[in-house]
Amino acid sequence: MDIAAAFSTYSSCVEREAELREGVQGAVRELEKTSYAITTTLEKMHNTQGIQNIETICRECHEELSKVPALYQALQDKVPPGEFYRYHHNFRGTTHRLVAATCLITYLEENSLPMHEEVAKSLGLCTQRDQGFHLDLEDYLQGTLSISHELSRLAINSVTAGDYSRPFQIRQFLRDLHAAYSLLFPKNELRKKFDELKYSLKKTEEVVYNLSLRGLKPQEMETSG
Amino acid sequence: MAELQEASLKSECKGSKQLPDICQDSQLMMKFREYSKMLDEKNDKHERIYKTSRDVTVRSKRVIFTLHRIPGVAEDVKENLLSSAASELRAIEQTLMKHIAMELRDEEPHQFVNAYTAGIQEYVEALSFHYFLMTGTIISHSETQKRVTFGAEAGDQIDVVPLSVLLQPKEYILGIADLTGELMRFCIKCVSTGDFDKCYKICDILKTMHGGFLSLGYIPAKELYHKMVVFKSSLHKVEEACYSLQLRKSEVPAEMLSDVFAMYDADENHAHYI
Repeated sequence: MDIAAAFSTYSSCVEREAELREGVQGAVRELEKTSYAITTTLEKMHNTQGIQNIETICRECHEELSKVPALYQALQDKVPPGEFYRYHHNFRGTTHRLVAATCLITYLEENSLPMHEEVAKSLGLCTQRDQGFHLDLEDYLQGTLSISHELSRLAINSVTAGDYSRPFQIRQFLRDLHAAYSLLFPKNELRKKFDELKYSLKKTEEVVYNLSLRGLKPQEMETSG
Repeated sequence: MAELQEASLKSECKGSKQLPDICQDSQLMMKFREYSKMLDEKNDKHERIYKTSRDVTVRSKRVIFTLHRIPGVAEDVKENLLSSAASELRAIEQTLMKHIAMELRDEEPHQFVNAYTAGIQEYVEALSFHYFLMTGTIISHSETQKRVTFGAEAGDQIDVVPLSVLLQPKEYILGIADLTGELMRFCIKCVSTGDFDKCYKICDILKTMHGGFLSLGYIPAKELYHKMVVFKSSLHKVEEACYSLQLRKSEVPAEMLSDVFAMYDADENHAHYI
């Protein structure tokens, strides 16, 4: 084996990979744009008017979200089959953001957490690696955990807007979420995010405490809260 | 780990005591139990591959040390060392590498590449070092990949899909970059034991490799950049050694040269430590 040949083989491999990576990054940029648009729309819910118009905000988000499956399809076309994890870090953050947005919208509409399969389906992905482009379980868990921060903010802001019952709902939801995540044995990044959930829960509990202390607990919550 | 699990278990118990409204059998909880299992499986696999990879590193290093004993020994001892290194390399492939390959079966290797990259680089280094001593040139990427691909052999007919550890070009080239350091050490030792032909030969090979690395142009990999800096200093050292060798040849009879260089080498080391 000629030494020069070994190096030229490697150099052509590097070139091929750089080309592929560029294609992937292009597709990810499109996806990123949409994900930021959705996050921006969701940010409106923290405004005083936003809290009263949550349905409208969700509708707007759905419109943006409906573009996502096609964008993931475009990304999938760029990623060679069987090399999902080679490019995973390129689109990981965007996926987290989209999962978080989906979870938040579902929570606002249905007051429940969508499961791995449901989120994957709404993003146009599948859950198993062998079925094609998939939503990695860890990405789902990471994305889901990021909504806790948004929800604790929403609890505070809804009090400001005069909605006293929402913090009670949010506390209940975060408690359920915390109980569910306690079943996991998280590592690294997931562990940090899990700590964030605890702080969000604590913050929300403080809001609830302050409301209860001042007798601002809504009547219909009396039995359940 | 057990402690942590216990703590989380405890907090869960406490939670359920305080909050009777959390249903342990809700869909959420059931699903998360499933997720927990899947997450643990993945993390365990990562851990197992990582452990095996560390064993690969240790044993590959041993092979390299064995090979470094070659300069200055008799021909039959040399043969012995080479063959024992070869059989050790075989053993690494057949046990540890095969183990990693089994773990990677039905998985996407890129997901776990970080767990075994260090081990496989060290292995490439050992393998290419041995290959160099046998043949005088460097092993190709495809040949290296073949060494860690199993199942294509006659004995393993059960495996429909060939079992292999993915060896990315990146790991191969990083291993080769490490090889340069070993060659430098080998070359310097050859000088002090009087095997001058080998010394010139290694110097030539290193120069060719240096040209090869330069031909790659700018490579956006931090690891390779650091290895290049090290390589440049080893190349410099080898060039200096060859230069002095040539100079002294003219002033000292050949049979005395090796003694002179033993002294020179000690001086060099001494200066290095100061």
